[in-house]
Amino acid sequence: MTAETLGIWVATGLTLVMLSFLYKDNPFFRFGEHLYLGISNAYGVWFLWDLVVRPDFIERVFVNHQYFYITPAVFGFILLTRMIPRIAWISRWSLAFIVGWGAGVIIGPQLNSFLLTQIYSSFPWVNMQGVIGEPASVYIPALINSVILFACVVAVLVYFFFSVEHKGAVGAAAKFGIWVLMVAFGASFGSTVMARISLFIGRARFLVQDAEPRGHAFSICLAIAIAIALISIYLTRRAEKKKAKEQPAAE
Amino acid sequence: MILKPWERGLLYLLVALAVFLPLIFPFDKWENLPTKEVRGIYDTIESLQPGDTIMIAVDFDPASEPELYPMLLAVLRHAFKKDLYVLGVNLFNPAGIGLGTRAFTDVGDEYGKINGTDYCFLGYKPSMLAVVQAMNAGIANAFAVDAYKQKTASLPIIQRTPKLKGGIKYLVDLAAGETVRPWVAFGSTPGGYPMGAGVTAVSFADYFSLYQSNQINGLMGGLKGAAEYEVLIANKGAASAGMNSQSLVHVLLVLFVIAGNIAYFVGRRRLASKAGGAS
Repeated sequence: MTAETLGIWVATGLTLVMLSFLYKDNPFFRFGEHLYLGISNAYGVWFLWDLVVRPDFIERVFVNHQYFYITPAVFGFILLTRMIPRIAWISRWSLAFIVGWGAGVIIGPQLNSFLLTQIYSSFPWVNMQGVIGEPASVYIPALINSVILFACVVAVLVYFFFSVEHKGAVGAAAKFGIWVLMVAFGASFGSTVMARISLFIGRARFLVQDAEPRGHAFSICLAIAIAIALISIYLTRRAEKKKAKEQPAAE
Repeated sequence: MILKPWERGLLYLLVALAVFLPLIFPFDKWENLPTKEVRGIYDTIESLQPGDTIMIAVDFDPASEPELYPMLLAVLRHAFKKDLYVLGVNLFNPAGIGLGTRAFTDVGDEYGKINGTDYCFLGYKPSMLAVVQAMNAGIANAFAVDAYKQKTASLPIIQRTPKLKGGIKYLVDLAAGETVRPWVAFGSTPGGYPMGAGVTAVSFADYFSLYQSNQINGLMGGLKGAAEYEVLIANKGAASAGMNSQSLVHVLLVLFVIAGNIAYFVGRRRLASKAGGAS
């Protein structure tokens, strides 16, 4: 047995174990769930050590003698004082630095990229700049799209404007805004269904096209074994329940 | 109305059949016509000259592998075919490093490219905003070693492209989470580099506003986006294989919705007639 075959067997087994949740919560699924949590945490810790702490702190300070990297390292260690309540206040120094730096760095680009640019590109006359001079078959659909986009943006903003009572023209705009939001949620939900099915397709493709030819029918055998185990668990529990029901009746 | 266990089992069985059958008996009947959003990324890479450098941000982990890994393979194949130099990085989750190194090594070998000269996968670093800004000014300073443990300062590709701003011609962010916005804010802002994105189907609708505002010039969404890119590079792979199953399941789900609504209204009418009869 090669290491590749063994790896495929483990991956196949874990895939089927996780899919067994479709029946209901069971010991196989629990085993897979705990294994995943343990391994992913250990993997993350190892990589953070190997790709961050060692090259960016240990090697820079102790090998390259760049001693100014001790300062951020000290601030990092200070964060750990949160675990000792008596001196937890010291961790606020690092937090103050993180929050101050973060706010300073983020506010400008965020405002520029996601508020101003988005507002600017909602206006029809901005959107139409790229199609000026184009034939009517391109220009007219683009114009309709731009007007719809602008109307939808305004309607949704009106819906979230609560300082004026939603009646009359404002009410009608707000109602249109709700419809726009519903369409957006519908599009998101449709995409989400597509994404979830894609994940299943990914696993199914692994079982059929990758695992099965190289795994020597292991996935089929294991699927049958898991199905037999789940059916026997179901039958045992049903028999126990039946017995428990009959006992009080007999007493 | 609650489904009975056998009804739930039947739905699972039908979905499983719709997914497995096209994979067991593959067919090539339904075309995945490329949309202009996907074509935006393709056209940009196509317009670059051999010797230009692009960056692919592998910002996903195994949880999004079925959707985003085929995109990564397709974009890498396109870039290597065009003789572009490719930098890779992961600023999302360390669990994605393995996927990045595997894709770069496999596709690199496929096209006879040399690690460190033609491509470099830098690996993972936390604190995305700080890392993007550091890479904009100097890649070797942000990543002393790459994911293969090579010293970046001595790699020919890093010597040729020492920083992102002014160095790379295009960035494609393949994102499972909220990494596209930071790349847009700190990378593709005026004075930066043009950018496209490949995202999961879940977040495709959210990122469309960035495409509409021209902050990104291309957008691939989910398995379908990946399949369209495979069609554009004429190299059908995992995404195209999965799209038959995807289409069948979508038809099935529409039928489920229709059947569910009919059952709901019939059930409501029965309840109403029962209540009328009882009174």
